[in-house]
Amino acid sequence: MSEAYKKLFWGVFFANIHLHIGAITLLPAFVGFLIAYSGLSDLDMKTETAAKSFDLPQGTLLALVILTAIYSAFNLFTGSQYETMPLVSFIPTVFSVMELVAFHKILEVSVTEFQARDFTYGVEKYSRRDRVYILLKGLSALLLTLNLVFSSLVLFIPGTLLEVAAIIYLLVIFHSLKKDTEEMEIEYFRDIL
Amino acid sequence: MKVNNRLFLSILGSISTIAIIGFLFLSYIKLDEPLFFEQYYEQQVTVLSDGDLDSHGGEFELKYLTNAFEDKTVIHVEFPEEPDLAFQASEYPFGISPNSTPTPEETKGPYSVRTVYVQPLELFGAEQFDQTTLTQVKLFFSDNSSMTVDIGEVNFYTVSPDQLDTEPLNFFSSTSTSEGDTSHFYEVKSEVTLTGIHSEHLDKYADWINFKINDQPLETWIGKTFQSGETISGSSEMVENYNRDTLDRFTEIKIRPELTLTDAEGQQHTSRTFEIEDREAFTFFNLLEYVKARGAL
Repeated sequence: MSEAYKKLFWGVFFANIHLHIGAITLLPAFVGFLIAYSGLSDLDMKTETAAKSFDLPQGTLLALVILTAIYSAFNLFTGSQYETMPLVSFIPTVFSVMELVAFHKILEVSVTEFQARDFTYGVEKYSRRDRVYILLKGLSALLLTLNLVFSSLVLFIPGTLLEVAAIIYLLVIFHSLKKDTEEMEIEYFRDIL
Repeated sequence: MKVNNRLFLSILGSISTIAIIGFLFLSYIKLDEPLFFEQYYEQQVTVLSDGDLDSHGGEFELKYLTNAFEDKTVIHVEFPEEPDLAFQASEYPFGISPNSTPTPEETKGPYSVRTVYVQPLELFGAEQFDQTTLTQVKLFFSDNSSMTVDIGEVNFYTVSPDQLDTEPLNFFSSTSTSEGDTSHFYEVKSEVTLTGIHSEHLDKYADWINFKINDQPLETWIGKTFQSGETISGSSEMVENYNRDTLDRFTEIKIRPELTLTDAEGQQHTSRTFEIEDREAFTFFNLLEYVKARGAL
């Protein structure tokens, strides 16, 4: 499980941190989502939770891989002015909502797994963290969606700060999940031996 | 987890509602065609010593509002009132390769304000421009479409380098503020008396722009004499809290009043001196107000 959370950590990292050389983006967002998808598939195989719990986050991450890849190609070939077309301008909101759905559901599955393994400390800890993540990511998506319409720094600055906070917080959560599941696995093997 | 799911669903619902309303709103405020701002310019055209036109000296700008995603640009203009005058037009400043820079524009949310640079072509003599007034323009776009719009008034006048040399005022500096106030400083070359002021547009804006010489209203200086070596300032200040209507606030003004100055020998000189410029800074909300005032929604 800890390896799966490690992949999810790097997936979130590369989905949000981009290096640009001119118009070319090294490691575009879809690569990050692909790593996260792979991490989630590993998690699916190593948990005792019912497989159907993974359907929604897996489907959402796969959709994010495909859609962000198409969107990157679209921007590369058409230029950024199309981003202001009414239909296209809300695509970042759609991606934000999909991220929120995917990662909230992953955290929910993790909490369910901890419940199944009687890891009470983990249940409380990650339920609380999931709540904070929903608030940070949700509020940033709300403010940045309003900014798409009104184009105001009053919306853009707090929206961006909350977005950065949500990314960092999610990275902290997956790092912590990796460490906690490592300890859980060590204890599990110790009990067997 | 029930609390988390309730929170998750309510945030999801809020984002979806805002996104749907936002999408409908953006679709509603989308412009069907570009809106050109009215502009009132007194535009100088310089005549070179051989009688030819200094095309760069006659360059002026037209500004228009369009959807930020619009990729068609103005590539040519004609003025129906003066079909014999030839101009070149571009949305890139002349001398800059279109491939090296993006279209200069101010983007405010779904709208962008773009500039069309218009330059007279040196095909004809400069005298054709003297006292010429343009109020309409036919625009040709890169997608082969065209439209004719009212642009306010562009009044041309010509000056020659000789005329500039013999002007009794010598410009040496200017200042301007973000509120639209400008000051131009001149040195008087030889004793002159201000005997007249003429501008096509000055009266129109007298209510909300104060024009002053040495901080006194312009008209109070008629009949007064300036001594050789004296420094004078010509300034324009926006009248505070003057309630202009929306269309006026977006009218581009560039006025250069013609001062008639009579020297000690009784000889008259004309001098187009203080350039008075005004235009409101663009924001998404005031552009939306302008679009509504133009009846384009």
